[in-house]
Amino acid sequence: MLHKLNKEPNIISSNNLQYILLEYWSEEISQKLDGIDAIIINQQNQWLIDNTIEAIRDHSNLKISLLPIFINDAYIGNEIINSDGTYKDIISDQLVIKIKHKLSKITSTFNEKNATYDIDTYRVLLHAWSRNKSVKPKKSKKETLGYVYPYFKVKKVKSILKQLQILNNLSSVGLLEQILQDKVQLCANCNDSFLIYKETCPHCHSIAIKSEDVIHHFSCAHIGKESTFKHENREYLNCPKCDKDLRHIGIDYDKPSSVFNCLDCNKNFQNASIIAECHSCDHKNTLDSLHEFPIYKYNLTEKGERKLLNKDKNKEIKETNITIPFETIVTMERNRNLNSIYHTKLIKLYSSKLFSKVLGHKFKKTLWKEIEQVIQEYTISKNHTHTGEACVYFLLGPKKTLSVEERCKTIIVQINKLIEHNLKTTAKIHIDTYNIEEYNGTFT
Amino acid sequence: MEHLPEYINYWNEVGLSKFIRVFWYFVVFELFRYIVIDFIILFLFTRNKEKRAKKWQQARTLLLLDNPFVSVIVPGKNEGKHLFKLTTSLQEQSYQNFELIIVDDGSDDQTELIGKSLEKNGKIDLFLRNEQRGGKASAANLALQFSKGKYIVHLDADCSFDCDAIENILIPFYLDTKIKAVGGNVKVRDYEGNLCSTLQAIEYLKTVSVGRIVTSYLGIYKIISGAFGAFEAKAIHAIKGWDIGPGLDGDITVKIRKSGHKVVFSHKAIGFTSVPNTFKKLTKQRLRWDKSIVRFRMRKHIDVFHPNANFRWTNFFAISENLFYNIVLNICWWLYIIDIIYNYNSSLKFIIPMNLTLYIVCNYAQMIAINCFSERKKEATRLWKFAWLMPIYTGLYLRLVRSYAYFREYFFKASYEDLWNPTKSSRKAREFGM
Repeated sequence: MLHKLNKEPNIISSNNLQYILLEYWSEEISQKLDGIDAIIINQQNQWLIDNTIEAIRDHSNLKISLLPIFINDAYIGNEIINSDGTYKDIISDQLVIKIKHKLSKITSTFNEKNATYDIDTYRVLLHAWSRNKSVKPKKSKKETLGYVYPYFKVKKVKSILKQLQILNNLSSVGLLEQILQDKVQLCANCNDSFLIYKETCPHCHSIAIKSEDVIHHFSCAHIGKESTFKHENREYLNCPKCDKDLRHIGIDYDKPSSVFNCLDCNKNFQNASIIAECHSCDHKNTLDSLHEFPIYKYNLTEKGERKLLNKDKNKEIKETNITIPFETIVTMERNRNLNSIYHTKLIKLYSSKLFSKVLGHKFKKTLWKEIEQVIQEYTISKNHTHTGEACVYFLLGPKKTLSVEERCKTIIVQINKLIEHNLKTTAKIHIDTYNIEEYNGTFT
Repeated sequence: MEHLPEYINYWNEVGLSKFIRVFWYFVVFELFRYIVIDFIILFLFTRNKEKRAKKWQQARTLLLLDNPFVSVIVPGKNEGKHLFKLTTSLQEQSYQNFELIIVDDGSDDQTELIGKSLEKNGKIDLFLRNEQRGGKASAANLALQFSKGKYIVHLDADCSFDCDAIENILIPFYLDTKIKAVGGNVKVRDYEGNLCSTLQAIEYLKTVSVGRIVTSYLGIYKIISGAFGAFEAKAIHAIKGWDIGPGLDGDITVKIRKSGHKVVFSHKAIGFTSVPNTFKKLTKQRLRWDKSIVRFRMRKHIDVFHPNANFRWTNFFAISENLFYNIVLNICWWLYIIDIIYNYNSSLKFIIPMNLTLYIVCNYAQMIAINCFSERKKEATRLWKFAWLMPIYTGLYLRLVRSYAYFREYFFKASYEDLWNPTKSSRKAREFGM
């Protein structure tokens, strides 16, 4: 749910995320983007939307250009390229969190001198990587190849061939992986993809050709064009050879083939020639003369990702410290459960008073943290657990293979092993399970 | 050999009248028709050689001046493997003003691929494919529908031709304007492959190459081979093309004759065809061919015997001769066997060898005629060593096949069950008595 927080009417929040609501872009807005997690374009005009997105994506500030951009869910229109879709509450919130989490891994600034590509390409790759997507081509009537890599267009790399050159170069050095998306046929003369396919006469290449079925009359072996069997005054098809009516296809007659007739040269043929006429240069291509051109989508390879993040080969990507408050997660899950048949359970795990007697406070806290880590093996993410006072709260979603109870039993077994290892004793572990919608308590 | 004096003595003492009584079948029918009449006609044919050659030359000149556009049509199923050879053979023809139309009648092999490829490369002018098989007649009719030639030349796909074959089959049209159909001279290719093919080669030389010269001369030529035949387009359109087979080649010839047109044989228009190479396949083929005599000549074209406005003596004699020498004499032969066994049971040891001797001598006499008329005398001579087997081949084997075929067709109309035609077509043809 979006809530208006501030007095300024265009900043809203949802699940601890800050959104700015825009109708169009102006440079003044860039001053207000501190602390903003994502942008929602509240607009119906496609042209204004496109221009707003282009302006944001083209912004000199890298952080601004990579902000998640959503369109208000009231928008009805074509898919908006370079956006992150229409705003859809929890799903969009989760996407924003993911993008933020990814971008937080960028710890160094881009150095064009040391890089294999320029800043614009860097942004394209970063955009795709932060969304966990490929650099994917989109169909475009305006482009000669019929496709465009949208983010590149924003970066003013207008020519699709230039875009492909950049991407293929990166593929050749192993930074990107090519996956075949489509194959386009191009004019042999000008390499345009806008081709109009026509059936023509194979003799004189005229387009004035007409196809007609032939009818075979079984009893007299007569076979001829369908028009010769039709007569104005007759209800049924009538054989011109033996004058019998043809009433039942498959029994009296059949249509074994069809034949074309050219209205210009009057020749007959069964197989028309297909030509592809180029809309740009009018060149008439035969099908086998067309150039076949593959169109790929590109995924970052592991090497590419390391290069992007400017990470050394031997170093692993550091885990970030971004956490989402447990209460936020609970709220998000509650909201998700409202429209789902699958329900999350909130579980409180606590032990007997043995701990409080035997262990010091610091050691107790450490032990509960370790217990939490054990539980995190079974939850969706680390944010789905929370250590309270001598207890751990965690969320378990539905699973096809194992029920919540079975997983809790496994967790208890693991925890007991941990305790036995540390304290050389066992402890009684308790579990309270709640439906997430019904829990009104705190998480202390 | 020890019985040879006894054998010779027997025939010396028998006398002529008894000889004729015992061998009446051979003397009255076979000797008279296939030696006496044939040699008389061949003599007359040869006697007018120069006059005929002059007329032929004149007709050739007229043909070349007219240079008519010809449609060569080739209907078939699963003939893809023959198409390249056929197109090559046609490319070598002395007469080139033709279009080649191939009809693929529901083939389930590579025919479509091969045909389209040849069409794309310009070796076939029009390649038509019926996705559903309709039978040879409908395939030929489809080609006819799209043909533009003044003359239609119908070929089998597995044939190849002498380089002047097309020219020689067209020349007769310019000999006499009443000639509307011409039959080509079909011989057997690869006859040295096995005995079955060799015997068929001799049979084709006797019945087609020489036999049709005789029937054509007499004006009773009644079957233009489907493997190689030419028709005036106007005439064939007038009779609305081919009717459902089998025996569609004989059927269409009779239809043209009944339209009042002349049909002749061109012995110079030579084509070579493939024949069944096993006796099993040959039996199947001949059963189909022989059934068609009953179905078409006895039933469908029985009206040639009717004294109506369309009655013609030439048609009457043509069909009569065909029915008599095939069906009637086949029955007579069985009667003859019964007669001999019943009346001359004790002399069979003399009669059977004498019968064989008579037929062998007769065959070698026919081989002389073949050699006289063959343009490939060396090949014809090579067949002499097999001619002695022909009495067994034609006199016994083919006669038995024929008898069985006539019986099956006459009493059970078995030709409608032949899968040579699609069942859907046969069912309808049977329903309408076609």
